Amino acid sequence: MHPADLFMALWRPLEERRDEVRALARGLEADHARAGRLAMDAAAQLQRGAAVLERWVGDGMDLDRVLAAAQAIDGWFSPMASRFDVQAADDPLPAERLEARRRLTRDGRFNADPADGHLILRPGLLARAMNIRETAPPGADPDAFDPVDLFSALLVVPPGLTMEAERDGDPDRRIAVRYRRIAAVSDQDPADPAWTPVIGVVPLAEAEDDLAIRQFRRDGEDWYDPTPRDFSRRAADAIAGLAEQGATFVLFPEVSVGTGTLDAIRGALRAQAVDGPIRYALVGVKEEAEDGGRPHNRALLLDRCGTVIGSQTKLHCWDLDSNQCRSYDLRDRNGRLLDCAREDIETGDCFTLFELPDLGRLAIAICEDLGRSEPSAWIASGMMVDWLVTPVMDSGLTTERWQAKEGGASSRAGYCRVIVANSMALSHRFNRYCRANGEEDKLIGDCGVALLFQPRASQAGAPRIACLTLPLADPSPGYVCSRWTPARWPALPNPEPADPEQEESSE
Amino acid sequence: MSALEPALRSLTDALLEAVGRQDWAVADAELETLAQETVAAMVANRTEDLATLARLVARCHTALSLTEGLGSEAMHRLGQLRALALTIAAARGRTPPRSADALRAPGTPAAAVLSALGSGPQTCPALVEATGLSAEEVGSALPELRATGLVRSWPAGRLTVNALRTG
Repeated sequence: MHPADLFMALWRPLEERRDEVRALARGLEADHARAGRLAMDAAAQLQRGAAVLERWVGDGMDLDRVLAAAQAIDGWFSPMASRFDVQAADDPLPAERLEARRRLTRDGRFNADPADGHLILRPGLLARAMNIRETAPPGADPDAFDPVDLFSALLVVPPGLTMEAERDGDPDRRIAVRYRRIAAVSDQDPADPAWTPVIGVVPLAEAEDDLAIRQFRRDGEDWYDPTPRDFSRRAADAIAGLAEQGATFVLFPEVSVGTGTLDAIRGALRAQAVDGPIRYALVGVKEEAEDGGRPHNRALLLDRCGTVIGSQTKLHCWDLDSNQCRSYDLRDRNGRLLDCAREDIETGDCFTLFELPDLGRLAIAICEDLGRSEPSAWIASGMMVDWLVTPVMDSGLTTERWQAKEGGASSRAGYCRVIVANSMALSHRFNRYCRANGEEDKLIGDCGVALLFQPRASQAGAPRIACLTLPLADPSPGYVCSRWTPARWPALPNPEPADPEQEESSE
Repeated sequence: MSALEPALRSLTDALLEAVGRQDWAVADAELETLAQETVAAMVANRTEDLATLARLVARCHTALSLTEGLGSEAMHRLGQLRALALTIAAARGRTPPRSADALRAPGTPAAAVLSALGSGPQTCPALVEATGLSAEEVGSALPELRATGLVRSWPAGRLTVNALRTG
């Protein structure tokens, strides 16, 4: 038996007997000597092989041994999760370690049976030099206990997740979860703490009519359907401009790209592929269904040559309420403001984690997906992604709006870098509403098209945020970019209510 | 920039030209030199040169892979370039830790952590408190100290306990 497969067998009771495991973990956290003895016993058994460790665990009734064995295996994997070469005198299970590497490279998981999900390394590439889990002590909240936190090197990506229903009254949905390791020739080194990529964002839809929003009635309800114009030239020019600026990762917002524009983006990427800096682009597209069904709202991941190497379909609809319909001036054909409008898309049934050699581990949450409980909660609890990217279609981003709150929360909880990329078309609609209602003070001048969040390094620190804007009246050159240098960015205010005593003492 | 960059650039350009004119003997000679230089940089841990090699080999691979109508001989060299690029990436992903003496040098976070562990095993948050360092500094020092073998660690529930390795 390979240690990875034994780990999977041990993981199940740890998940199922959560209350007992929580009590056991608390006891060990208070008694380091006892924890040390258990750890030493388990590690000694593992040195003689996974089968010996399995016999030591026995029938699984002794939870102390189950946990100690699983943590011993986690420790055996830890050199693979570190940037540093471990100077061990000898590796007790060299053939098993080679097999582990083979499996991860070949199958994208350490475990043998794909039905169990993917057993992967918990830290992404950015966390190989400093495992952030070590600096974040577990919280005192008993409800916050998660068996995932018993392991620093390994993480089980489950085969599926349960998500809330799309509409009230519908049953919960089950989506598949996939881990995809993209194998490619690479030249970036995201695990190097000195690595500072340049992020570029191209809003593309700059004017109101760049993103037509069609409204229609179906089954007694109002629906909306955004359709981007063709921006082939604009997109290609932006790619060329961002390549000159040294961009590493280029983002196009939600539903900003149609078929013609996508071809132009692919061509522009290919044109810079040999000597240019851009390694990946994430492109928000609207794809019409081939069978005449509802369109898909997707983000396509392109490599340096413009080849599509992955995609994520939006998992939740963004249905607008009356306030949002008013803010975006959504009216029916008779000019009446809509009370609500449903997004006309076919939602996805799969969430994918991408492992990219030139960037790190990437999760994509398209607009509404960022604010919903899953998969955001699972991503945050695992603290295992390097980048969480959210293409949106909304009015200008600010550090006070929902994207900043959700992005900041995701960055705080998940210890990951978050990027929100936005277009500009809806800001014109919002300004029209403001002017019509005498709310001139809310008019958007500089339109937020990108929010970049750097997670805090410790409990005492604060996340850092950069808000990149373009003037709504003259958005040239049509893109923004920033090197990832959070030390120069302002701190994101803590969203929790301030402690009055602390406020007094700081004044 | 690596001092070798112009020479390595010339080497990879010559490789591409040789493939372009289907001069396989020259192409293979350039590939062999590239492999030798890669191993030399890996063994000596010349990180800047490895970064340059990574960039230029990836560039060369990209240029060749974008060429229309590659024949089997060219595809063969493309595969060799890919293997070389993967080797370089693997080397860059593994950093040898500094020596024990360097890590013990006074005034460094690693030395402060070692000093704090002299009073007994401690978790990372406790080390932050004991040393006055930031959590990031302690969290960055520990993996290297473990890799060198100066510190051993074990889990205690969700915490990790660290201790000086003796003997």
